[in-house]
Amino acid sequence: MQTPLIALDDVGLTLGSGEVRTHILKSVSLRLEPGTSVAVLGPSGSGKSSLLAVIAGLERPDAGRVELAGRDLGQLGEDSLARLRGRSLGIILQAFHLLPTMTALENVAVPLELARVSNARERAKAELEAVGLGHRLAHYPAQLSGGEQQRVAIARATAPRPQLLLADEPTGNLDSRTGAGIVDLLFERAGAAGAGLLVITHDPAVAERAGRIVRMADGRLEE
Amino acid sequence: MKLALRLARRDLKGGLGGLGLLWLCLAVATAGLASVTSLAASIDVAIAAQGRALIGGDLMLSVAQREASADEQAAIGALGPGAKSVGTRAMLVGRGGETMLVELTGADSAWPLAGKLVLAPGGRRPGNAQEVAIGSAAAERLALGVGDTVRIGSAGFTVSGLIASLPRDAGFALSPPALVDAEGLARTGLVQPGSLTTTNYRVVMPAGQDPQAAGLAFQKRFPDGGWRATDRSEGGSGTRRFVDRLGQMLSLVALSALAIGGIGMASAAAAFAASRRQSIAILKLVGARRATIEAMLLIELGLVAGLAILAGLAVGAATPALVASLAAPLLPVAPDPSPQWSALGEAALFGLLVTFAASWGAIVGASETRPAELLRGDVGGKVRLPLGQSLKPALALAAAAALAILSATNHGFAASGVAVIAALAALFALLGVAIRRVARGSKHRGGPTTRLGIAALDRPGAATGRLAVALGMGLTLLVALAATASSILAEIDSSVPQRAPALFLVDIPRGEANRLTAMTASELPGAELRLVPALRGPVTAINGRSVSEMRAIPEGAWILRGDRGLTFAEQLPPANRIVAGEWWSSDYRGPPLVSIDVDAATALGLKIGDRLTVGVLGRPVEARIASLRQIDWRSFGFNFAIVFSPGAIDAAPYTLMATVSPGAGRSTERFERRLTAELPMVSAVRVAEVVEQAKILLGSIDGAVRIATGFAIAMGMIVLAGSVVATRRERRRDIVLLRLVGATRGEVAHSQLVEFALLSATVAMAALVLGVIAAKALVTWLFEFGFSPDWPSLIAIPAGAIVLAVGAAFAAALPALYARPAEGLRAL
Repeated sequence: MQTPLIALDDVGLTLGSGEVRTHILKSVSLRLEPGTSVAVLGPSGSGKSSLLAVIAGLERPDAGRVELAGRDLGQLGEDSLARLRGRSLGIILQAFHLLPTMTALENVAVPLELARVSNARERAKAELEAVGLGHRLAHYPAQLSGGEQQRVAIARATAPRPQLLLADEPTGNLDSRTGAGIVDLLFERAGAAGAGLLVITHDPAVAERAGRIVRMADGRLEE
Repeated sequence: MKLALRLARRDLKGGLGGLGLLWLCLAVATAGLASVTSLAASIDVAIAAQGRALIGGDLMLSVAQREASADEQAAIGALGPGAKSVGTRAMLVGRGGETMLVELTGADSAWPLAGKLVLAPGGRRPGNAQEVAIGSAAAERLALGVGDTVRIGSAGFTVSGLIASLPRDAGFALSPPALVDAEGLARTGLVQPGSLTTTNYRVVMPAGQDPQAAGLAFQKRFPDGGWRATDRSEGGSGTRRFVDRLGQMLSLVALSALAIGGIGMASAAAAFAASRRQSIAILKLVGARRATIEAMLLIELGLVAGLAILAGLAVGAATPALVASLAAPLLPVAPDPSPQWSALGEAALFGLLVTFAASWGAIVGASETRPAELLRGDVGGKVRLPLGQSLKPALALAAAAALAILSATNHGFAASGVAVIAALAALFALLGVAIRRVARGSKHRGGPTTRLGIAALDRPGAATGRLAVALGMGLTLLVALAATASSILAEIDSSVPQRAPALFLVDIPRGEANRLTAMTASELPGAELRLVPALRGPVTAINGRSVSEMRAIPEGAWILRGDRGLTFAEQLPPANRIVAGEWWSSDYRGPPLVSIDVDAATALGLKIGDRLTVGVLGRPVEARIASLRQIDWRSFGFNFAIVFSPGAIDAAPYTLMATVSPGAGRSTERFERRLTAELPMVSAVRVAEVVEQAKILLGSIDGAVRIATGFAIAMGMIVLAGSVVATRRERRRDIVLLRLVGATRGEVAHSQLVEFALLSATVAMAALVLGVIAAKALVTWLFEFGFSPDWPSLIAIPAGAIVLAVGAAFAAALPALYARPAEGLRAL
């Protein structure tokens, strides 16, 4: 039996303190097998982004257990979590979040350099060419369109050959035509890398592309 | 205006938006400047108020080596009630034969006319010719108390009291006082024709009379008498000049701190304006006029600036009282503790001018915000100011510079200081540009965290240029000061033991030269003894024009101040070099010739052939300038600025002065004991003690200036902290994204530190180089010393700055480093 890529068991997350304490996630359990994709569908405020944060080790749950490729994230320190993200995860966010003082090539190379990959720049170049941006290597984020920036973000996420790609509303800041192109690219690159894919979205059309859909409402997950 | 006020009040409720940093910069800078100017003014006021007590009267007329003639006595008596005292140096000999140099005063019963002789409890003023009151320092050194027996000259005395303070003949004294009555002084046998004495006639004048004018009139009436007039406004000769000079230096340092603060204020004003852009666009959308917006912003800025200036002035107002309580022994007079309103007003005006210069551009730019920017979601683009608006800040800066120059007592010095501040600012601004250029070209090198740090130096809105100026100016000043002070101290420590004699002997009777020579040979075999004739007298005229008619003594013409040491010589003295004219032949006995110091001659515009008149024991001696000499003052020998040809002043009763150089490390104690026993009229000045006193004074001055420079450094650090805070959003973003893609905290911290490490290291190194160059120029050109600073402590200055800067960056990054990445993402 294969080790699940994602294994969440009764995960709970509460944010804030005192009177403004909010239960964001309530007894969430989820499994994702390697090489498969799942879409998390739900309205705004349902806890989808917090779910992604917990899976990526960006947030520590108050209850339950989170395993990523068999590793219990609760047992890892912050630096170990960072290393795990850099080598095993690729994260794509709604607002792209590229480093503005680095070129497209450098943005993609960053996780490879942090992981001490020797041919980081060559691999970064290859990833950018794969997403159709071979002619924009030396451009800064401010010189790229929204769609191009998101493609750079996808290249950055896939460059380390991660086991899992996490995408939070990847088309949220894009027009529908560009967004459709991005979704196609995302699934194509995930498939090419053999990586699992978890997509957070409120768009049913995007969710339909995944192998499985789970719904999130009021901090709870429903299959 | 009411509307603008209402809008301003509401707007401020939403936060200061950068004005907090402006408050801090302006408050600290104003505090520094107000403290310095208040202290200087309070000492001035104290001198004026206490001047009468300090000198013991309204006017003190002094003459060297004689007493007033009958005519002169009558003229003095006509001014008002008077008191007479005679001052000289003397050796106080204790019970066991130990000696100490003292400033001996023989005073009549009317002395002091004003001020007080303050004695320690249990003591009293000498009541007869057998009694003496001595300074506490002398009592401590020689283990003496009331009732003990001492010897001065050839007379014995009983100590009647220990002096805590008394009206002095001079502002600074290098030896403790001793007081006897007139008869007691006569008993000592020290007052002989040619002895280096000064007779002081103090006068209390009727109310409404001007002592300064009376002094000048007296000097004009007796132009050849060699009279020196000191009125109550001077607090003792040299004191006012010293206070003025130190005050000017400290003011310039404080002004440089204000200039640095201006940089911080400009950043703060820009941040404030940026934070208000959206509100301004909305206000204009709903009908507000540009003038209303401008008034609103000015009110907000004015309120915060006003509070900051008040806070700074409060510190400045309290400084004289604080210094009086903490550092009174180091000062010539205790500062007047009351607030010095004129000085405070001046500091406030500087603060306002610099605030205006720093913030006007940002205010006007923000007022130009267009409501259409809201529709594009692009509020905050750069606005180009019209030329007229750009000139206003420049005019404000020019007004501040003009105020700094015009308010100074020495305009030339102040103008030089302002020029240096401006030049430093320009140099470091250029360095900032260079750093950005290099960063732009280098930001693709190295690992990701290094690249991020380098790129941050050139990111849009980076404070690189401002920080370079803010840090660089203060550091350069501190390095230059430290290098200068340590070089001078090193020169004193290294040169004095090698070159300086161990003892200076004064008041040696002419007829005792052979005896002294024999004594030296006997007690200090092999020691070098050099004897020169010595008189004292003032320069009374130049080319026939009386010095008393000169309105102001030119800078550098110190030979016109007070009595000068005079001598005559057949041979050119050692360590002197003729640079113009010719030295006379050793057998010259013609009309009087004189050779003078070339620097003094230059200051007075004197040349070969000009005439100089000196008052010698009340008689004018006019001589033609035959040569100009370059004197090596570091030789520590008898270096007279004025040397007469043989036959010019030989007929006057003169004494001899001598230097005794036994060789390094040899004790002169036995020689001194024998000297005071056999030649009691001779006073011995121990060079080591004088040098120690000078070093203490230099150390105090250096300390005061370093404290003032500390304000400049503190201001640089405030600007740095402000810059870190202003860019925290960008830093947090970089930190969060790096952690997102796998960077550890250590790697993230590295990215934050690289920026400030590179910037501070570059600026600190530049400051070290510039400071060293400036110090070397000052030390070698002005002081003509060797340049030998204390390198470890010099290097510690830029090293400390780098540590502080990197520490500030690290402290600013800590919250983001330890926050959960998800929190950071939510905030982006």
